[in-house]
Amino acid sequence: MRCSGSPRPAEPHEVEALLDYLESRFGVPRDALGPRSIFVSGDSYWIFSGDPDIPGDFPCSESVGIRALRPSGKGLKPTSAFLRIIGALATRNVVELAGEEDLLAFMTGGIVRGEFAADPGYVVVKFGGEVLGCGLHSPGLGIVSQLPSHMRASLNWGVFQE
Amino acid sequence: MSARERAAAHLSRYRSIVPDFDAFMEYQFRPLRPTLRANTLLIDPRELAARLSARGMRTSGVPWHPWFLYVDDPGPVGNPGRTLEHLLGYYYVQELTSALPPLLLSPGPGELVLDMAAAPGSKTTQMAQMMRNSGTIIANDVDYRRIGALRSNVDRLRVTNVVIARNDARYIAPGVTFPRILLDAPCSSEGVARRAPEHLSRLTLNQIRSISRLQMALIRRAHGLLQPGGILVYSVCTFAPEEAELVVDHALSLGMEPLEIELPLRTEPGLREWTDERGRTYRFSSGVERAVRIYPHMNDTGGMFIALLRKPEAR
Repeated sequence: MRCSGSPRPAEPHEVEALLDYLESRFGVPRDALGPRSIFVSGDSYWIFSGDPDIPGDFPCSESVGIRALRPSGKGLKPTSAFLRIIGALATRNVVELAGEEDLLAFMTGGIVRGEFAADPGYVVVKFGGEVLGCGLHSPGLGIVSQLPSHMRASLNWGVFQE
Repeated sequence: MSARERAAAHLSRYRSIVPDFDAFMEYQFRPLRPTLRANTLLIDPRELAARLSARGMRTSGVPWHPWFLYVDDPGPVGNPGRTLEHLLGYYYVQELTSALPPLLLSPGPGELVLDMAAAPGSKTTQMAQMMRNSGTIIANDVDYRRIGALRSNVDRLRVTNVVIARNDARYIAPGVTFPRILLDAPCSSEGVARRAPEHLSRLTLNQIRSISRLQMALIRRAHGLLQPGGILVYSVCTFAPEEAELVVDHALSLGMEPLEIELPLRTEPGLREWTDERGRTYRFSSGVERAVRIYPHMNDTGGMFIALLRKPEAR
């Protein structure tokens, strides 16, 4: 069987670039990742809380921990899974949704319409103080949900009405 | 013949080995009450129960493990997977017998574990909780699509101590060895019939024999990947002795030692002998009796077979 990936530990300059991005875009403190280590696999950064010496020795390791950031046409893009881990520490470009209707729009992968006090680009989306994931703020349009399909609800669930 | 009649005809091969066979058959066609595992990396099980209760989902605690909740009534959501709490990774819908192999392997914080056939990740993520997201779990699977499901669950539950690898586990090259291995092997899945009743009606003896050969190859590799003194948990969610005792008997012939299993459920010991429907008789060594069979009618669960094995220390 052919192996498709080979994660490697991030070089110091790559770690710095990642921490710079989190600090400048979201105000996340540079120590927010704690003891977690950073790997590079394919074009993405991954964060990992396990023993960093093991992964390279096992055949056909495809990923290490969870995907944190990947390049996009708009610069680095944080994954929703990663923002759920560190997004609570963000102080900039954080959007709190106003009600159940906005929550449903975001969780079904739609657009939360309205004006938001955030820079254009990727934002941390929260509801009731909980981080839901990554949104793309597009002024004049709103927040476009960046949730991957496996993290989305379906419109017919009707689950968010209490 | 209806699907139910075909399933019943298939299960009749176990009449001679299952105690109280009529009750066993009756339970095969009873729906199973869903159970949830609270993701203790993110939430206290009592807080989860309170949040679900606010959505109209009624739960009660599983008496023998604080992380697990019975769904007594899913309420307006209908399906217990359809809540914001599920999407945020606060719980995993997991059948109780599926929780037992990780509990027996018992990995602690900082340890190294190989999960040889990990997807979709119920047991991988359970072990990550036991290890408090530290140490390392190598979660291996052969199937690209199933790895997608594993990755989704790892992401959703915010599990960060897992390395996902894609190998045919029969051929993993020696290199790293492990103190603990979980081999929750691909199987004929007879024990999940209560959740997927149509499944049993399509199963054939040839399929069971073919899966059995795969399982024996997997357990041989597991033996090779274990450190001396290392622990292997072998589990299959099925009743077929060809996939259970026969495979464990093979591991014992390689020198593995069977360990005693203690579980908070009623279990039956592994079999010493089995005659299949074509009259072929298998005899197993006495160590196989230390493995356990879990039948749906004894605990109102799914079905499972589990063996706890140790590789002897090098001499």
